[in-house]
Amino acid sequence: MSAELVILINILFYLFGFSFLLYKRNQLSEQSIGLLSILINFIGVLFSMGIRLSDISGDVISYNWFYISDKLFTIDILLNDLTYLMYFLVQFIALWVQVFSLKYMQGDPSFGRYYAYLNLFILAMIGIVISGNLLMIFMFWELVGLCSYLLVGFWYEKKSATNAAMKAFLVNRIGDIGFFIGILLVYRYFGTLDVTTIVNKAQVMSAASLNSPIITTIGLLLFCGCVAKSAQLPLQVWLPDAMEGPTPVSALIHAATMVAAGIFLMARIEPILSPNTLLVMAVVGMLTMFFGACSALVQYDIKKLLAFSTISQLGLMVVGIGVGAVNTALFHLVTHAFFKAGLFLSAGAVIHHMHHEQDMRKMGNLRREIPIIYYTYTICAAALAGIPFFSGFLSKDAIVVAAFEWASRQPKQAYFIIPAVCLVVSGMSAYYMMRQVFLVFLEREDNPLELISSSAKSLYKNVAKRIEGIVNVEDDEERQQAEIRHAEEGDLLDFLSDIGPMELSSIVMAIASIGFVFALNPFSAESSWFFHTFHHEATSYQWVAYIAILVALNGVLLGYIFTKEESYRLDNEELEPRGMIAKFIFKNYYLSELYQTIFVKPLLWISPKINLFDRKIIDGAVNSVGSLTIAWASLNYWVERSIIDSFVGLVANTTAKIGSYTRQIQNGKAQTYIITIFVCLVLMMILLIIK
Amino acid sequence: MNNFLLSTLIFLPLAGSVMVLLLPSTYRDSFRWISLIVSVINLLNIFTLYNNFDRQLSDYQFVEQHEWIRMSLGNLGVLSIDYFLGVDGINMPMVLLSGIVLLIGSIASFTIEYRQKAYHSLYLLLSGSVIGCFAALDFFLFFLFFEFMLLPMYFLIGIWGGERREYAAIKFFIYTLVGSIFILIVMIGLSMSVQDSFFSQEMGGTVHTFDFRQLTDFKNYIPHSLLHPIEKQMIFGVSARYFAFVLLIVGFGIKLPSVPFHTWLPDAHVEAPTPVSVVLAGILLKVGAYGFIRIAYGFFPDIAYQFTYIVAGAGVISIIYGAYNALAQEDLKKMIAYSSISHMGFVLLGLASMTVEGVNGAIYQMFGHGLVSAMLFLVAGVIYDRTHNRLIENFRGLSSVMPYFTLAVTVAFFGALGLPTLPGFMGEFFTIMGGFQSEILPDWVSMLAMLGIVLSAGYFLWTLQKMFFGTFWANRNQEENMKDLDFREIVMLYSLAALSIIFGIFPSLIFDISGESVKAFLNGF
Repeated sequence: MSAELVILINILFYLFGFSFLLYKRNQLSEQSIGLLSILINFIGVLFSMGIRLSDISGDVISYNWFYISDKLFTIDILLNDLTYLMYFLVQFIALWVQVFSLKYMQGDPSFGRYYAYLNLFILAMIGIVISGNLLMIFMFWELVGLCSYLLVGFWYEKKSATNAAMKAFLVNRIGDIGFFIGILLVYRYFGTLDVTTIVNKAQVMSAASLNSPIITTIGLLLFCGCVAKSAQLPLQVWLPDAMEGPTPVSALIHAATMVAAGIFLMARIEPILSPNTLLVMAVVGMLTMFFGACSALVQYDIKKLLAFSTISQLGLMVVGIGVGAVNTALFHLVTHAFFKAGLFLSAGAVIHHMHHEQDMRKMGNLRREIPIIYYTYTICAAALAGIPFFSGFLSKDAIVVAAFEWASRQPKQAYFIIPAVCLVVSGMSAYYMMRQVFLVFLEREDNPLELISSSAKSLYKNVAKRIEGIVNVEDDEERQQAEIRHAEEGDLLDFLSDIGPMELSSIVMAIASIGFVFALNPFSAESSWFFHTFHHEATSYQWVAYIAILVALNGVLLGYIFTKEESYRLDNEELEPRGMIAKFIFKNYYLSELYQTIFVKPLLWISPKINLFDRKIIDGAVNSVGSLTIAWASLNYWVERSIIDSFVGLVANTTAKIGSYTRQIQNGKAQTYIITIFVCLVLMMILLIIK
Repeated sequence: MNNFLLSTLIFLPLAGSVMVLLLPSTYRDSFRWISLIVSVINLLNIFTLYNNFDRQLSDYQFVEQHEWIRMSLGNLGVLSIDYFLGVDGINMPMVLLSGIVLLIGSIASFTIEYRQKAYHSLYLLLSGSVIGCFAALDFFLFFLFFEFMLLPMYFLIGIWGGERREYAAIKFFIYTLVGSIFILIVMIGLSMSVQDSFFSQEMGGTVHTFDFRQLTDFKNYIPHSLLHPIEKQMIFGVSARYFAFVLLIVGFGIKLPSVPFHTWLPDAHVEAPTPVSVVLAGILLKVGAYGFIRIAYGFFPDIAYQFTYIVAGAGVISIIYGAYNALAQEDLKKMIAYSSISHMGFVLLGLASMTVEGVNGAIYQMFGHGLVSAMLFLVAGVIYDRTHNRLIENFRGLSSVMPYFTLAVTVAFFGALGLPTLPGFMGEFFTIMGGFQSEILPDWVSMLAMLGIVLSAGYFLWTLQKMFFGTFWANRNQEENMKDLDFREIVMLYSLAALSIIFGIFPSLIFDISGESVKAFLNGF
């Protein structure tokens, strides 16, 4: 079977999953819903691993979709490495999110609806990934927006949730308008929406024509879509609010896949981005990265912190594209998808354990209670912090290196601010991850190094004991053996029984966040399998990576010290941090409030006024035309009655009077007639004489 | 059979109307069934028409032409009026839409209990006239049907409407009548200026015609006639054709409705009973748009070019102004009515662009809006039927008690706000794309139209949130009345939802029909 057929069948599966689950959501049991949905997803993952590239440069398979008069619009499926990568990534993470949700969403009355939406989301996301033209990308782009809307507002009885959903949709719509205009300009300029054609045309363009204002405009407008979807400044306001949705959804949509769609789009169309556009992207990414990280520093909500860190990391990816290191940015997209999904899933397990408490100040010491989650969380956090041996280190530092490389090629020293900010943010991310791990999992007095060493020791002891047990099986007496075995089995069972769907998913994500998964040499991103497939921009600034390690470790240390200090004076009652600046940062720079004031409020103020205008002035004009007509008619009637009709009456009256007067002449007396005749004769004679 | 197909579409409802009228009132339960059966048969016939429609042809098909009135005008020649029907790519989608919406309307009419005989008789009369209006290819015949729609509409609003029904009905009637008079003036002017070249030679005198095909051809204009396109006759120093075009813009602009001639619409919609609102929004508004394309643009292409700014401007203003007004509404039905004004603005924008994308998009938008607005008014009707109340603020959290209804509402709202895979998207996308492709229109005009897209997302989502999300509550102790959809409502809403999705994913169902004709249409410019 050809690859595109496999993908199409796969999409049909998800469509079936969506419609069937939506239709049968109340009839089926939770187990059957979950199993069906996971089965569909599992088949999808198998498919995504099974298909092979027929041609390394990528294929485009086109089907005719519709004609507008003579102009053909096609359904294009673009199959290249990027497609396969994302195709696998989306489904793989979705699979584990679905497994996780089995437990997390257990007992929710809308369990079926939840899984139906997830199926629709995966469908739409695959749609974006495989689309070969901008119209299709835009359609699926909006569809994932719909899924995000539905899933953020999943608990629709919560007002904050539905508010967040609406905000997410509207903010994305604003960005999409830019994207939309960009598409129209592409169509006008290139005469097609086909991505491959556009990219090919752009690649043969001269530098001057690539730098022309129109190409820059197109690039910036398409970037608008990315700004909204990937939560870049100034449209990042929706993402922290979107955390109102179920946590697995945050993991899948608002951390790993959908928000990365903007990066994916930029990577797809990278050749048409002019140098100016790239510079703008680098700057926007840098600002987003920095301000997002600042906000993450002061959060108390476990999910909000992760959301801000997602914003920050997406900013880093945009910087990556902006400095021309597209594949490095994609590499970070992949590693980030795993470790951030892992973080969110682990956070979900924490929240579940805490009975839906998300305030980190009320947590602590969870290491003892949910050890597995503690490990998975720490691994993923280490990956995010950029600690060596973990995946984040490879990709993050590769971007920093690329940024340095890029800055060194620029004419001015000022460009070095971008890699410098990258480094700073890298330290900040280490800081806030440490802070979070500390607040959530450690006892407030614990020394993490001791803890790690002690837990490693106990782990070692356990393992040693077990190996000993296995080795010593034959030597010992049978009774002892049975006892030991019994105890071991008990331990093992205990341990295994701890691993529910939630833990399992977190473990998988944590494993995928370990550096060895990506590169056998954990210090060299270049040796990763990723850069074997995707071309890597060669670098001579490897030393920057070592600085980055130092910065990250420094961040961890500072995070530990400051959080320990902070933990003594944590006040649960206070919702917001003290201090103007901290509060300012905590509230995400009051951007939401700003937009509320300058966009939403005037809109809500003016629309009733416009409606009043409509009712009073326009409709008033219509009605007054009506009233005037009636008034005119009354006037006419008055004229009719009092002038015309009275004139007629006058005529009639006069006639009647004349008649009554002349009637007196005809009185039947011969004398009168004779006199009349006589008078008339005289009068006639007089007349004749006068003539 | 095919030769009489279009006539059947018109005369079957008319016959049904007469039949309902003649049946004694003791058969009152059968009236709704008659109108349903007639609508079903009509829709089946329209499907036959749609299937047999040759998509490669740009010309009129299924043509029926019979000589109807031949009247000598003395020195002026002979006036020739034909019974002339036919469909091409521009009116075929409209006929299809009429079939669908009229069937839905007749299902919705099952709730009408008051004076059923009169109601169904008028409804069938309306059905016949609407299809006649779309299928007529003779200006006189078109005008006849155009006027004939007013009469049943007036009574349907005036008798079965809400509290202020008399006001709304009168306003609707007079407003539309004013528009009709403008159209009538142009119609007379045109027929006096155009002769049927073939028959004129045949009969050795001038034969004035109302035939659409003759009217589009500049060669048929009588030299020195009032509306001659080249030898311009001046009135007050302005070409007479200008006046004619302006009259048509106003006449069809009222029907469309375009700002500022729109104020009859919110009143008429709010007062009309649900099925009449459905038909009004679903089809009657499209008559105005159809007239714009076929008559204003079709007969006056030379003037239309110069009016691009005005028509596009009216469209964009309608889009934004309608959206702002919709945002301010507290009454659900009024909100939907204003959203209709906003969405019909896209039709004007697409048409004004005079590009294949724009005009095809406009036709698609007409069709798509027909489906979606029918759904929207059914939605408003569902709530009104249960509570006799339509204020948005009186309801909260309906989704927890009415899940099936909520699903339908979600499809309708997202369809209207232009979510891809639902019909609103393709219409908006291609009308705006047309605006961008147009050589005359500056880009900012189309960009302004996009503001309407954002606003429409705003008011629809806001309404969704206010009425359907949150904890369940209904004002005035109406909680126990808020039952989920019954079978009839499910049939109506879900079949429209299914059609919306089908036409949204396969826009070729419309574009294939309209493509060739639009191309030929634009060649005239």
